[in-house]
Amino acid sequence: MKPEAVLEKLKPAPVITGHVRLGDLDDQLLTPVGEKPPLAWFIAFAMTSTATLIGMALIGYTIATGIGVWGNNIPVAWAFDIINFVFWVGIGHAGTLISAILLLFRARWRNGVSRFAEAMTIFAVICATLFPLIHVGRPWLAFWLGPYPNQRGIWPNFRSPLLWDVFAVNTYFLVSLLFWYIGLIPDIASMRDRAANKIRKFVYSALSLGWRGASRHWRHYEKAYLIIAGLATGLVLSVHSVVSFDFAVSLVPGWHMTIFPPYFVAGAIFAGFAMVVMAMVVVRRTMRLEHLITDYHLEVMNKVILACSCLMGYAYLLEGFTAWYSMNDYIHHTFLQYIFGTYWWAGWLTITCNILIPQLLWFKWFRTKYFGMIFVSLSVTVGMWFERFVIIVSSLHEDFLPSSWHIYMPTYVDYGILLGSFGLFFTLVLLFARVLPVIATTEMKMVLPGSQPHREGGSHE
Amino acid sequence: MKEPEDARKIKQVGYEKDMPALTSGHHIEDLPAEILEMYPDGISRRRFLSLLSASAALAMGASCSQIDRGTIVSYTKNPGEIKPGVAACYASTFQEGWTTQGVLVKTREGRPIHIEGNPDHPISKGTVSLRAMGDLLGLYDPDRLRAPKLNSDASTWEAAIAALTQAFEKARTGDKPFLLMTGAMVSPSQRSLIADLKQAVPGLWHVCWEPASPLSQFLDDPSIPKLHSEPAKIILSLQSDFLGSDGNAPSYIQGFASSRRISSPSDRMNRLWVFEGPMTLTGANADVRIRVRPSGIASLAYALIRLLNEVHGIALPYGMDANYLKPYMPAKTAETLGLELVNLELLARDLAEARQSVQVLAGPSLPAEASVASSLLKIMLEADGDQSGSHGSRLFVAEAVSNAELRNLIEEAAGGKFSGAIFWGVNPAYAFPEASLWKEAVGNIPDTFRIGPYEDETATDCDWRLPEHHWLEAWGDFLSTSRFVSLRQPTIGPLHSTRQGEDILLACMRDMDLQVPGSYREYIKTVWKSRIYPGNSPVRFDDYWNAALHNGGAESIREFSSFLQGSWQTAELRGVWSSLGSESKEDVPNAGNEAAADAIDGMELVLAPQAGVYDGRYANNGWLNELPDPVTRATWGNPLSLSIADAERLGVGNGDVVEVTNGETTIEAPVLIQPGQCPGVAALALGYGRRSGSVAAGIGVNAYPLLNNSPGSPLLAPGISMRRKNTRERRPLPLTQTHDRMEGRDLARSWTLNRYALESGKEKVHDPHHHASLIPERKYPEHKWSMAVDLSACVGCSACVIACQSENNIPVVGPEQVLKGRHMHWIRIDRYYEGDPHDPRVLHQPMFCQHCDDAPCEIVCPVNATTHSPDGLNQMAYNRCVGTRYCSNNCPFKVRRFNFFDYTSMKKEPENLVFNPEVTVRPRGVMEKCTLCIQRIQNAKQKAKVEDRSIKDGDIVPACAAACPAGAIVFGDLNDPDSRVAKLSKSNRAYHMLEELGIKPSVTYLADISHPAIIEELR
Repeated sequence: MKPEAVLEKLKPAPVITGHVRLGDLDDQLLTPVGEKPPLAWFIAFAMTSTATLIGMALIGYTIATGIGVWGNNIPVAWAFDIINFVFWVGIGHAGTLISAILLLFRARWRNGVSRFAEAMTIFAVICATLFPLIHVGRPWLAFWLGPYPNQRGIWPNFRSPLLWDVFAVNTYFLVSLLFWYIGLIPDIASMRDRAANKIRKFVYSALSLGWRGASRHWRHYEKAYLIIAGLATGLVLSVHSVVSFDFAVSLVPGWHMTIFPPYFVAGAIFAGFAMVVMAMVVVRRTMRLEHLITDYHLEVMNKVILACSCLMGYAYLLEGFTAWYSMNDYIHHTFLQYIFGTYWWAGWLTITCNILIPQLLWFKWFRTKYFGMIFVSLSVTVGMWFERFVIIVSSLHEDFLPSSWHIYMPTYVDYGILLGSFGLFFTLVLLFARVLPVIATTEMKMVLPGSQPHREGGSHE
Repeated sequence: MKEPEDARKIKQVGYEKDMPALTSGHHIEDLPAEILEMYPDGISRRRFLSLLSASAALAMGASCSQIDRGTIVSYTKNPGEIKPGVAACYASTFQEGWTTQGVLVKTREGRPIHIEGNPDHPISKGTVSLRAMGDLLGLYDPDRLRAPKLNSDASTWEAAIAALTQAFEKARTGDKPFLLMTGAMVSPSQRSLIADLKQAVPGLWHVCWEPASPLSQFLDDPSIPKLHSEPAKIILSLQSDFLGSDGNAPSYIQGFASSRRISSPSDRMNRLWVFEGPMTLTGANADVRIRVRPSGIASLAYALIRLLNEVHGIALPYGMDANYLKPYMPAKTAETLGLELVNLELLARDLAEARQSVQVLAGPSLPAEASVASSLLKIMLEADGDQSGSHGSRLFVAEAVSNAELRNLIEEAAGGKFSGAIFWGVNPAYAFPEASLWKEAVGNIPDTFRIGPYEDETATDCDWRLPEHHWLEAWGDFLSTSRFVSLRQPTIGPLHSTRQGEDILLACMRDMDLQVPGSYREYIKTVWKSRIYPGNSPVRFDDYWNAALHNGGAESIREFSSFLQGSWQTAELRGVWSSLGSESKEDVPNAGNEAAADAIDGMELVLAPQAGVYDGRYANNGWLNELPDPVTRATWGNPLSLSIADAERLGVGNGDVVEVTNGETTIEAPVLIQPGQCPGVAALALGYGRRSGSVAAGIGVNAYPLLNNSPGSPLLAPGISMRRKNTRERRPLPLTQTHDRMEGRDLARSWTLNRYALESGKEKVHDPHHHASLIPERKYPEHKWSMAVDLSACVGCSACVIACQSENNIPVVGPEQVLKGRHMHWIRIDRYYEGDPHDPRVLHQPMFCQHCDDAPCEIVCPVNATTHSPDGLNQMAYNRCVGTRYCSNNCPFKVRRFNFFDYTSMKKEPENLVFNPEVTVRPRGVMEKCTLCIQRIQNAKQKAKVEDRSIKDGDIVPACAAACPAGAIVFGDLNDPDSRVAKLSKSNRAYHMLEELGIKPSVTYLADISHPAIIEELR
């Protein structure tokens, strides 16, 4: 190969295709916010909000009647409630990873997708926090999990992983929100400047916190953004580790595993990226942003999915190895349960969707074609939901004493609330797409051709 | 004498406060009419006011008009007054069929809340049946009939008594007899009362019918348990479920378990041989269990007789010809029945060796010839060549009728024989096998009266429905042995406008101008004075009576054997067996045709009263319906138990509905595949398929109709065929345990006696403090409460489950919730099948909170709702629980129970009166579990403190331990080295559950020891 060709290969791929001017960028990203949405948006919104309402009605029914309307029982005291919780917390992780860790690693391709991914984080965490709240027997007393000073002098039990969860998820939500909001400030200011409507102008003015784009502002902004990114970086690893402690710290066979923290983090990123890819495909198609969210972006994310899939495969294998090597009857039985037991289909579905199907991403066609990546991402989403099903339900339904083994069957309320959580998530996504810019214009401007000085001689047009 | 009188008044007043609706006494309603008669000229205002105040005072003092204001005397202490917050116990008697048990009724503020056994009772000796405990709920059943009814219209007692008196008068003057049909009657006073009534109404026909507890000349006396006086060394059960469905099971269990609780391998231990078709609780506890069809048991017994005679030289029973035994060659019989000859030889050796200490028990579900054969076997072992003696014991009750006799009677009734009828304590409309014949009969009796607590099947077929007291509201006396008479006294004023059945008869007798005492209580006293009280005693009768009430009964001066107990007269049997034996029957081989088939014919269906609902009388009781069957673990219904082989042949699984027919009647029932059941034998529990009762109706199937053509054997239906229902209908079975095997885990530990000898020689390796741990060991400075469960004594009878339910206000959740795995019992009996599924060994293990020292539930609760007490209890603070259910996930024993719904707050009066005020009623969304009866611990602590002493071992007895007839559950302080529990925890059979998890359970289990016969011993 000629040296020039090598150099060409080594050049980072462009994160924007075509020639984009600063003004065009603003026009394209900030205009939809004031306009009447297209019909497709309304159809989508009608569907997602209906799903949300169904979910909310069923949650109301649950709170009014009791957890008994779900399929949970003894021994399977946790089921869809905690599956959904872990699932949604996991979905959020891609956003944080993209915005925080990739920022620190200076991965330029993150700028195009970070805003959307962060928003998805927020919404996913909203969906996630819903479940611990409604899954308790007496939700109106759930505030007892908070460490607030009270007359009775009772503190929560700091040894309980559930309490760690409360802190982890709350911290995660707060930091993600702050990070997202700080990133939004310059964009909100731009929208304020473009707003024609009085109310809109007022709202955006208030939200932009007096941003004028002064260099002092920029300096503070950059610092704050970086600091919070640093904080969030730790959270990417810690939040799902803590969530995994709910299981790993217990003594339930199948839960009591040292591999759980890294395994859960990998799984979270895996599921999160799959969700981001699906959403991004839709956004770039419907909002005509193919030049900003390029094939390259999608391909990079698909590569992350592939890498995570391999990690997951390793984790699954290691679980089997542990079961075998530990010579522990209970763990042995549980692992066999996963693949040959009552819920064998869930076990095989998990393996197929999470390990086998993502291997298709070794082929470039799957990494770059909509059909290929959506197929894989969809299967990962399904697979990761069922992975939690396997971990929670399959492990619980047959534990130590065979006398108390009992099958678990979800009810329509369980399905309805799951549907509702998807409804809520996508409703929020749809609203977000209409009121805030889905791509961070300021960040995009940093990666526009010629925006940064470089050794070929930077140019300002 | 005076004090208790006052006490009772205070109690009643206190109770009225709670229940104003029930105190609208009849005086107030009845007064105007009476007064108007008294004052034909009208009443002045002054007179009215004086009457008003007088009646108000009267109402206050008298409360309900029908309260019998006799003295009742508490058992454990004589309270000067009812102390609020302090429970008082009264001795009383529970009767069910022919059996009676002495009970202590625990009352709080005048209402019964718990029932335990009366340790001073000579027969039950402190044991109590789970149904006696469970029937407490029946007292507060909202379905109870609350006032008399004529057809479906409300009526009054006056009208009812008048109608009944008129019916008696008609029978007195007319030529048609009057039918009085009752359940078992073992009460001297009742019998005397009916004899008095008979004198006035000579046409009175009295019959006693117990559908599930038949009397026959070949059956043992069902009223007296056989193991209660001296424990036998060898027990042979010929399809007798004496540990399970027998009414006296608790007492049997006590006797049986007394020589199972061994502490060293050289201790004397009994051996239980069981020959049976279905899998019963007795079979589940057998040392040697041999599956055989009921039709094969006769030849088996004859083969045994022959072995005993020929090999061991025991003389044949008087009058029996050795020639008769010719067809029963042991080897051939064993081959036909598919048994191993060596087992028969071993059994014969056992029986011969332990001659003086053998108990042969034959169940009521045997064919007639098998009953005769087993009687002969018994006589042979007892008589030892004695030519004249009378042996064994049985119950003679002249009025008792068998199913066949009853059928004749009902046929006669259908022919218009009777002028009127009372149905009292029996429910023939439900339990009589031929419904159409019954309908015809009841339609052809002009005046029909139903005395009973409910408006049940029989009541709706009768004109008059007269509500009866619950036994906890009633007086009574019962013959428990030929000498001991137990007393029943009311422990609460009547909740509704009901009357004691005997009082109804007395009222009629008064109306017929007979000289009778004013109330049944008075009547009992008269009987006692003349027949039971030793006239020459220096003790005044009143004191004697009070003492008898206090103790729950008294020894009579004369024997009552003349009308009750009797014994086997060998000569009497002779004719019967020789006539039966002349037609030597071909045995049905055990192994049937193995090919798959649409229908199987020639099945033998064994029927037995169910552990909870018995013969159907408790079918409206939620506790007893939700009690898992001790063998099948089925709740809320009676699935048809089939052997694995038969189920395979029919191609059915659990819950598949099959049609069961005896040629005339067909019923449908879901299948339950029962490991260990003999192929060719099906089993079905009685007591379900009721048509009335808000709880009972529609639960399970009624099995009685299948008995319509099985003469001779009261609880066996031979010649049954069954086929899978064409529609492929399934009815899921609400089982509380869906997995039957231990999967090779060390859970319910069971050793043979030989293995025990090996194990007890070893150094003990299972020391809970052996595990290295970073967590500092917990310190228990004062007490460390703990429990020990002896699996060798436990038979799995489930009495503890009901006792716990009653003591700890445990809700009933219903079949749908049980199907979902949400039953609420704090203590459950885990039942495992080990070994060959066709002939498994059955293990039982009571499982409840293990109160681990390092409890996994405690660390995971985010709100500190479950914590460790300084005296070793794992506590639940219901108020603090938010219901994350994490504790349940982390509990390796899955003994925590979650309130998935609000199970209790909708309970209205009088249902809510059953709650124990010492135990919190848990709201929805809260986790609960065994507390080791912390309320009893606290009570004992307070008592000790008041008495200024330290707590003694045995001061605290949790409800389950108190109810356990086997004495398998022991509670105490591990810190006290002399306590029973501390000693048991150091036993060489002791172990802890799942010790390897490092959770340090504080409950100790003692390994089960089985005592199988070993072939090598024979040679």
